Amino acid sequence: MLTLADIQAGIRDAVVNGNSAAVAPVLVGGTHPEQRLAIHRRHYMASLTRALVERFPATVWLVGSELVTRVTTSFVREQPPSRPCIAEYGDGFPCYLGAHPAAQSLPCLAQFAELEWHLGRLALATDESANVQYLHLDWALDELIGLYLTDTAPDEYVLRQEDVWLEIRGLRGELQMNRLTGDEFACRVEAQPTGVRS
Amino acid sequence: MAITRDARPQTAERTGIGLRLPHIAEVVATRPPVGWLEIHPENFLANPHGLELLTDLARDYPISVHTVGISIGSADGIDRDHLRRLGTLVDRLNPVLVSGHLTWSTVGGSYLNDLLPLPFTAETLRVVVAHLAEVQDALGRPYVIENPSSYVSLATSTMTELEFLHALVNETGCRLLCDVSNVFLSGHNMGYDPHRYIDEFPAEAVAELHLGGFTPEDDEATPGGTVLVDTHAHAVADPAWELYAHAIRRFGQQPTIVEWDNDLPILPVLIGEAAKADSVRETVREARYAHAG
Repeated sequence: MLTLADIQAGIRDAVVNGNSAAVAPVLVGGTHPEQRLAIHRRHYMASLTRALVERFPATVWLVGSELVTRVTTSFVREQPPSRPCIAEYGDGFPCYLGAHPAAQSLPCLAQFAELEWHLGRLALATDESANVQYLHLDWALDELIGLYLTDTAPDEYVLRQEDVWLEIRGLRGELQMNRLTGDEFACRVEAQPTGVRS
Repeated sequence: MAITRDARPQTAERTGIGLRLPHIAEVVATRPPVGWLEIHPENFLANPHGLELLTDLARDYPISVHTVGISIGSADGIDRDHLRRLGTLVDRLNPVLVSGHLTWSTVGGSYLNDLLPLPFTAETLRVVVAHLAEVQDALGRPYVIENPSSYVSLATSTMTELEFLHALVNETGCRLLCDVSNVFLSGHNMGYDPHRYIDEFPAEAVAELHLGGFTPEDDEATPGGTVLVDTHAHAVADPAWELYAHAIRRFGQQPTIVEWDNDLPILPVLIGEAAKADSVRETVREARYAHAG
């Protein structure tokens, strides 16, 4: 007799990995009930893939939806959400994307996606919530994402490799990206020690 | 308008809508004529600006908080951090109702972003009863339980879904949210009579009704058949409206929400669905008075 915990572990395996062997014997619904369980698997994959693709529109603009969708599909399979708030799902995606074999030729991609992650998060900020982020970049990605945000992409663009010490502020849909000197950056980060990633 | 803990008379008068983020700015700007608003709190926990707008709306509309992430049937227990965050939001909004599903979503630290089926057993009943008490203690208010939509069930069940709901109500005194569209969908998929389900539902426990659209798909489990999928991506189907009228005759005039989550229409279409629910209720009311006269 399968316990509740056994059944839920088995359904997790079916939904996340597509392996319904553990629970197939106890499923009821139609002639092939594991196909009914597959409805939940399709929803899991489609809803989370869609949520991530919609969370990174500038990354899609930069490298195309085919690559982003392919990487999100494997991310959703390998790193399910740990919390019920799907808007918070994907903070590990930039790093995962940067390490993915499909992105090997784009060394700036992880930082670009991380910048986009913070812009998306800060666009929803208010005076009462965390509304500033400090970020060190190895390329002029603030300029690059600015082309996306202002819809002013030129026919050709050369991305410069340089240290960018960035302060990002957001408030009710408005975003500001301010370049700082290294010293200013260090000083402000020290004042907000949890606000930095580099 | 002051927000009261129990706005049932007001919410029962006029149907409300499930408020989703793409509509919130328009609702703030236009204050459409709907009875009340129901939100998924998980959409607002990481959206301070959205929560600010919602708090503004709470001055003019009764708000209902309908959770999708509590996972009341998880063998692993309730996510206490999520429950704490939900409690903070509930304290801020002071909603007229807080509700969630007789399902589970979380196992082994993974949240599966779906409402998954439970076996209806004595073990599951113990788990749900304990978690319901934990949630209600944490929130300091009742937590209303919704009947699930089903494509598949578990052969280990020792009672039917209705028997489980009756046992849950008897043991806890909880209130129930009857999702009429779920009843129709599950009846179709699992082969039972949705009218009889409504007839045998614990009527005295009903606190709210839901309506939502579903999507017919080819049933790969039964070649040649059709399975109804709970997408909330369409208008309410005609047979679900008919079942809603039956539910009103059985349960009386109950607060009702129309949900639409995917492929969202323009706001007036959703408001039109709420008006249709009002019309169905009015028709039932008039027929009752005519019969009484």
